[in-house]
Amino acid sequence: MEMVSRLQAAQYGESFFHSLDPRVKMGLALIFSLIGPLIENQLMLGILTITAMSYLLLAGQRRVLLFIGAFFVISMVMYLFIEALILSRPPKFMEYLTLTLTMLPIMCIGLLLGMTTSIEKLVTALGKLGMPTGMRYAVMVAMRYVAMLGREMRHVVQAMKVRGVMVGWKDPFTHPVSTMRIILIPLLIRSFKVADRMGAAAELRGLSAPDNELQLAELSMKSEDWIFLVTNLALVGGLWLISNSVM
Amino acid sequence: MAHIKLRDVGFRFGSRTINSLDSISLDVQHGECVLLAGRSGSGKSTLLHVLSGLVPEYYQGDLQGCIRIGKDEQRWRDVPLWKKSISVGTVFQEPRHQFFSARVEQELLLSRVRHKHEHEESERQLNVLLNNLGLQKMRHRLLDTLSSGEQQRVAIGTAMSLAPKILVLDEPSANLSADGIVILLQFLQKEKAKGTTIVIAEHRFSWMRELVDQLVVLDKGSIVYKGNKDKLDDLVFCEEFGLRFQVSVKLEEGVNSKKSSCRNGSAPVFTLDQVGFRYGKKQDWLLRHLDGKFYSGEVVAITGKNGCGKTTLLSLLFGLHKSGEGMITFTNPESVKALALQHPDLQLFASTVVEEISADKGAQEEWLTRFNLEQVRDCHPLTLSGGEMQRLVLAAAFARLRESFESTLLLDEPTSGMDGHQLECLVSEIKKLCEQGATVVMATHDPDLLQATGAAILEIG
Repeated sequence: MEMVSRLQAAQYGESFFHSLDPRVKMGLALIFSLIGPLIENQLMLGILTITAMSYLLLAGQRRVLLFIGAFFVISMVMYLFIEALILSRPPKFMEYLTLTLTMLPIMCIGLLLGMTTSIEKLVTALGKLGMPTGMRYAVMVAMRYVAMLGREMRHVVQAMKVRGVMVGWKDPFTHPVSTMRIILIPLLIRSFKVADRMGAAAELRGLSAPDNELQLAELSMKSEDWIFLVTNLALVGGLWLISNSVM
Repeated sequence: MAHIKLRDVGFRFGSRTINSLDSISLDVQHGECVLLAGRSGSGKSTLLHVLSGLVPEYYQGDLQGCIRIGKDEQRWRDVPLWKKSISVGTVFQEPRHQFFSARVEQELLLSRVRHKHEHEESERQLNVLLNNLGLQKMRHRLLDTLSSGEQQRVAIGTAMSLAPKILVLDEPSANLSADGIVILLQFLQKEKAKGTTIVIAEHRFSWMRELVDQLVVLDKGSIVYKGNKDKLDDLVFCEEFGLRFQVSVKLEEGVNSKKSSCRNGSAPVFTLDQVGFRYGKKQDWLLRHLDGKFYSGEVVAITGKNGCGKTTLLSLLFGLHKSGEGMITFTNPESVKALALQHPDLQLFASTVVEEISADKGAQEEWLTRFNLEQVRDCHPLTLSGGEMQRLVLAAAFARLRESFESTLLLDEPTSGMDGHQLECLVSEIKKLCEQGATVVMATHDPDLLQATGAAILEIG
């Protein structure tokens, strides 16, 4: 078990959220995804959003928060553009705000799970939740590939500059099909090849052995895991009840 | 008894009509090192897949013949694939596609944890691997931050973490600098002395001449020669089967004497003046205080340890990045530049091979012929083999320069995975270009390319 412990000491970070059992974070994602959308009051949704964002901040994921902020600013600008200029109707700010506040907490918790959980811990946790070995290793390969995708994308963009294939910021809107063809097809074909090689490597490392007892990380639900899960269930449930009584 | 025994092994991939391997019979003794050589597409990698067990379980198709590995009388093909890794350690090209953990130490421990090995034995094995592969200082580093050569060494370590009795390597030196090759050679010598059987498919075999016991040459899926490695000295034989003729000159020798052969007092095409670069203000300097003058008609090879900034320097010369300090000055700012990067499959954007080459119709056909691509002229570029894609990217870069005087061609590891014939073609094109007055700058570890082009060396790092 000592070696398993060393393996799981992934050093992705040292925060409380990094040490939480991945099953707690999955449970949290489930709670936020199922109960969150039932809340209709914007104040309650705001509290839920601030809570989820503060979790990301406490986990040291400032960059992720900035990314989320940028994503929603851009999506709001696009919404306004489409409503006002293309559909020629007044934008419905309150509806847009409600939709945003409903989505944000789910997005934050999903990213919290992804950014604070090592691949080994996640795969072991999925095994404990009954996922078959083959599927778990598909998750493992996929997570590893997602980590590499950014680098692959940078290679494509660099190669476009080198080959003189220029895609300006307007092109995705004015020539969406040709832009997609230029950027996505090399990336897609490369993805198939990489996935194929990673699958072969996984087989050769013995990672796909039919062993449901497989433990790449040592996991056990501790008291703080239970307390955190129950507290969040109570919080989200409470916000839903208050929202219902107010509405 | 032979450690590996193949009898009349043939293999055809599921959808193909031609056999990739045909009547392969081979005996490899315990502790023997076998070099698989042959031109690109001759079946070397497929034979390695047979030995590793990926054929026919993972890469499905019709496998014939008898395969026996070790003493086990059970037929190798009946052993489950996940169990085969205990007997055979395998390393492919592109090591970063073989990792599943975040850090070096975790990656080296992963297979042992998976196979539930004892902690103390695993710890001992981990330290042996870290020391023997020169990875001790980077044991806690993130795998994604390592250079490709360092990743290659980690991949070899992961293959050996279960201490298999057979090690199968596909182009292991492709990403390695001269220092990395020395470490690899020493590691393989130790493993061989311990009795590990080693099978290596390799185009650049000058570094492993002392290691090899048996040479096996493949052509069109069949063995055309097996026996003594001295055959590598036979120029006619090497040319016939697309092998690189044995280069005996070491990386450090020979080239310096050619350094100023074509300058003759003329002005340089471009100069580096105290050039420095780092990827962010908080990052360490990757390149610093680089000076140099590059002349028309000159071939310059940028060498140095893995991760020392060779590719970055090419990017600076092309203009993909701006230097953080110092100046890069082109005498003629309008001079044409072309850059061929690694990963050819990410650099092809047209619908057909011929469209990838920006030139008039006659010139397009000429470039296709010069790079042996005329057979595939109307194919989609991304359906080509790896070697064909690499040649297409090079052809497109050469064509971009056309015949303009004082043009600059920048090549990043242009010969990884190239057989002797293709290398010869590339060298011939580089020489023609230089005769027309172009400057060629290459980032490379390949001693065969350095020797063949007589490149001047700019060592960085």
